[in-house]
Amino acid sequence: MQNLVHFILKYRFTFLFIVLQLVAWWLWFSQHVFYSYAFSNGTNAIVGTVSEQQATLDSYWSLDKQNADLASENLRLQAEILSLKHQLFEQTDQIDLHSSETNTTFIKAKVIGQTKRQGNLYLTLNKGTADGISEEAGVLSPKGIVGRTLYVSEHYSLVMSVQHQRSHINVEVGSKPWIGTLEWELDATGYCSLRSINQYAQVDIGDSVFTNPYSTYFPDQSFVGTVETIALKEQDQFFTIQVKLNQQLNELRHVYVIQNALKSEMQTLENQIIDEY
Amino acid sequence: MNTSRFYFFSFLVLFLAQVLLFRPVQLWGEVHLLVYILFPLLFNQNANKILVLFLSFALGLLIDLFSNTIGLHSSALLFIAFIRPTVLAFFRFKPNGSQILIRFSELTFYQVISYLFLMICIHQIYILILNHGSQLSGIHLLSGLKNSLFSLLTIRVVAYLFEPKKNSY
Repeated sequence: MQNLVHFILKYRFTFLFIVLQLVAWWLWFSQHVFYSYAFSNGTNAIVGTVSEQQATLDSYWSLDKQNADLASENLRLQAEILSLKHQLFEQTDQIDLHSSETNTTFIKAKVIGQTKRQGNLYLTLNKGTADGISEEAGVLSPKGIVGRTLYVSEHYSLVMSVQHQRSHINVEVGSKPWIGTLEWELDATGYCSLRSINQYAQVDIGDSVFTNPYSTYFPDQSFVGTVETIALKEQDQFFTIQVKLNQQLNELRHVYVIQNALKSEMQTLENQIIDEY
Repeated sequence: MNTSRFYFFSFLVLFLAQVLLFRPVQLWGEVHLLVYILFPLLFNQNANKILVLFLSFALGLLIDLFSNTIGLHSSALLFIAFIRPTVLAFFRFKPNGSQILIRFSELTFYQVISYLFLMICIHQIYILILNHGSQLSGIHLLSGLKNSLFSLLTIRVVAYLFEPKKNSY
């Protein structure tokens, strides 16, 4: 016994290293622990406050760019208003201005943190359940789609961005339109892959990609990006299409969370199929 | 300042510098400046290696809390603190009297740079392997190299601030 104590004391440096290293590895490799921490991390009071302050500081650095973006968005909106006014003038009795048919609310939020884990990109937002955000809600920016909320606490939410290997989004492209799935491959920062587009589809480089009505998270016709490259591998029925995302996620500051009041009702209805058949 | 206070002083300064100053800075959106690695590298053979090991783990864990990477930086910095005495012996840095800090100004430029760069590279490779595992690719190694080079520059500058005055620790 005395020998053992002597042995441990003699090599206490190595023993302490092994014990602490095992603790660190356990923390890192245990997924359950990661998720509970990732959630409490971006979201616990102290870290959250510091992150928020930093994001405020950060946004000063990029004010020029933000201003330019806002100005161009303003211009686009002005043009849209003009064209809508024109349409309204042309066919006043045919336009339904009542927009509550989709039952969607847009909640403005600020990105206060970005985390990469195994290449996948997560974002932390400064709004939570207290502001009406729930899990599995779509997140948009003025320039395009961003992702969906994964975890939500009272004042913060964690977003799984489109640059995540588990992200699959229903989109459409071209004039017909052709329907496919938008996925992300590791390390393709700023780009996504468009899958399930048949080789006979008429898709050209530069075509715009939009979300379609089957997308659960985003409103119909939300802009995603443009087709960058198209390839057809041998003995493959589907195109390999690379889409350049219109919203580059590393420069993201402001987003909108889309809260669909009737989504849960819709999902309950759809789940009945699974229950019954 | 007495010796034991110095451990905690450098711990606190490097923690605050990393979290408040260097964490938000990402050069060209991709280069991360990892200044906290300097903590174990400040000390020479006279320092209490168990305390340095333990504080390195704690510092890594604090950095992890702020970067949503629980376990990653703590494991890497712990490893650096563990191999530190061996690497110091390899470089044959002679401690001056009873002081616990390496006096970088008394070493040649190449000694300082090779010691710091070796440790930064080991730390960076360790992080890359732990983070990406079998999916590790050339792009990761390239970004790791960029991180290492820019961290080295920053750390060399920061290390000046910790430079002990003559006849102190």
